[in-house]
Amino acid sequence: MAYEFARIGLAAGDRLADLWDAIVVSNAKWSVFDAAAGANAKTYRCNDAPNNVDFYVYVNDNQADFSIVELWGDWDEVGHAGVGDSIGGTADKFRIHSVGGVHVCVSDHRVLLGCSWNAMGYYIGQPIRFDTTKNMPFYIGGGDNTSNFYNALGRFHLVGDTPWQTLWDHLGNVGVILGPWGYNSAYKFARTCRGTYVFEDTVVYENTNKICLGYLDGVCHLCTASQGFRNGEIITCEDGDWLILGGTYSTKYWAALRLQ
Amino acid sequence: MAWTSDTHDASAGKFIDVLDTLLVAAHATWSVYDAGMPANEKVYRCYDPAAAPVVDFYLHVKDNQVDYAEVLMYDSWDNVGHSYAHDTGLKVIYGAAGANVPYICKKNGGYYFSSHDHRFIYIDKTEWEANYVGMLEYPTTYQRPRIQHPVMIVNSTGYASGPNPLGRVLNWSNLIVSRAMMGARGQGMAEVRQWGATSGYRYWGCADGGVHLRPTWIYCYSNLLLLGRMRTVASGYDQAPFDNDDTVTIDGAVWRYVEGTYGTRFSCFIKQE
Repeated sequence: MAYEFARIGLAAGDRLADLWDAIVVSNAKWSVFDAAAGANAKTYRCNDAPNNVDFYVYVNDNQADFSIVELWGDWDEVGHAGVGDSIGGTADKFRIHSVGGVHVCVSDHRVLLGCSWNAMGYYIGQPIRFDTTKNMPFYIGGGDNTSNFYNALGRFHLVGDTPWQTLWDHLGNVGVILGPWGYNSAYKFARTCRGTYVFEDTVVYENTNKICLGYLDGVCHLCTASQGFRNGEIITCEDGDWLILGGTYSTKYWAALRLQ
Repeated sequence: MAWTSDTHDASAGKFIDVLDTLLVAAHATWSVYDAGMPANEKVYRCYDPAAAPVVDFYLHVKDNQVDYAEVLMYDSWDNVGHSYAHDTGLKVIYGAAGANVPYICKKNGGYYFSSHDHRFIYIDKTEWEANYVGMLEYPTTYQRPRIQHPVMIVNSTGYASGPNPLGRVLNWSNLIVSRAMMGARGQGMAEVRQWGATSGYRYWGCADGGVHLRPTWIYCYSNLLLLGRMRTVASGYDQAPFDNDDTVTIDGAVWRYVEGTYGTRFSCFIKQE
């Protein structure tokens, strides 16, 4: 795993250059699969066959400020088009506003972003899976809503605002909605009577059969349990530094992101 | 630590027998502090000056009736006058309201008992109610509280309805008592609740066919600070397809499922140790 604080440009294409090409693909499991997927668009692959991980992230960065992303099961780098199953390609787009200062955490199987501009977190990739024979890439992040920035990693699935979806669930179903363990409980408190904090990776379930798929790697879902949090504060715990984000909308949905 | 499965009838004194045998006889930290009480009543002390923080609390157990024992927690006891020595308010004598006295169901039939130097868990196998009395725990790497926060998460006068306290950790009418003798800032009779209360979206089943179990963190309801966790209790909610007394084995440890007999299933898994 690797963490760094990146400074990412505002213009079209900057997120490809500053984030995905400069940081994400430095992990050997991530690569540029199609560098000509469109104007200011590329497709990246996360491939770790021995561990049953293989998915594609199409990143359309042909506009300022944000990227539109889609997750695909396969990709045709000659025809420059997705193949097979996908999520994010419908009217309700997945948008990632990774501009300015961004906390970037990259592991073999997922990218975790903590964005300073809108105080939102984004999760692209696998959880720490309970069944490692299953390929289950998630997208948890922003949707169509470009003005009311709820923090997706502290909230729950809402079409357009804060999608929580998996490309495939454990049964191979496409686009299944996900939920954080404890869902919208406002009682997810993390502060101890010593003034320290306890953050634990959140368990995620699929919302059809209520089966737990795995832990969000480095994300503690806190919902509206504010505990005096402020956007952007970093809390040092026994297991490392955690970034606190709640979104910039008036209603804050808090999450802690482990900066590793 | 020990896990016991045994039976008794519902008559007076049977719960005291359990405590005498499985706590006092087995753990140097537990003692009978006042044996001069009326018939089928005793006061127990849990005292461990070497613990951090120091553990010292008293349980007044009134086991002089069938089906249940009344259990009260205090920070001191006068074993000459046979009464609460000095009322500081640091005690647990009721739940949601004054009439909701802490009860532990001990009906005729089997029970499970998990003993520990600083706490016990008693599970009645007729109503399938799991009760937690004593200290919470912290991961060894975390800073521990400076003062003790012993808790009572038990039933109340409505125990016969079958709600499982460890599946719904909060004060609830005459059904569940959930308090710490001392809260986060040292205040008495502090209500405690479980992390994630009262969500119904606390699922067990995993994609690999197993279950996901995690120790239950407990927070002080008045100021929302974590007091510690029930290391051997994973609290959830209404989790079919499990039934009372089912078990799962994780890394060699057996966890037993308890959900009560109430209409809504308030479920938990308890590690057998």
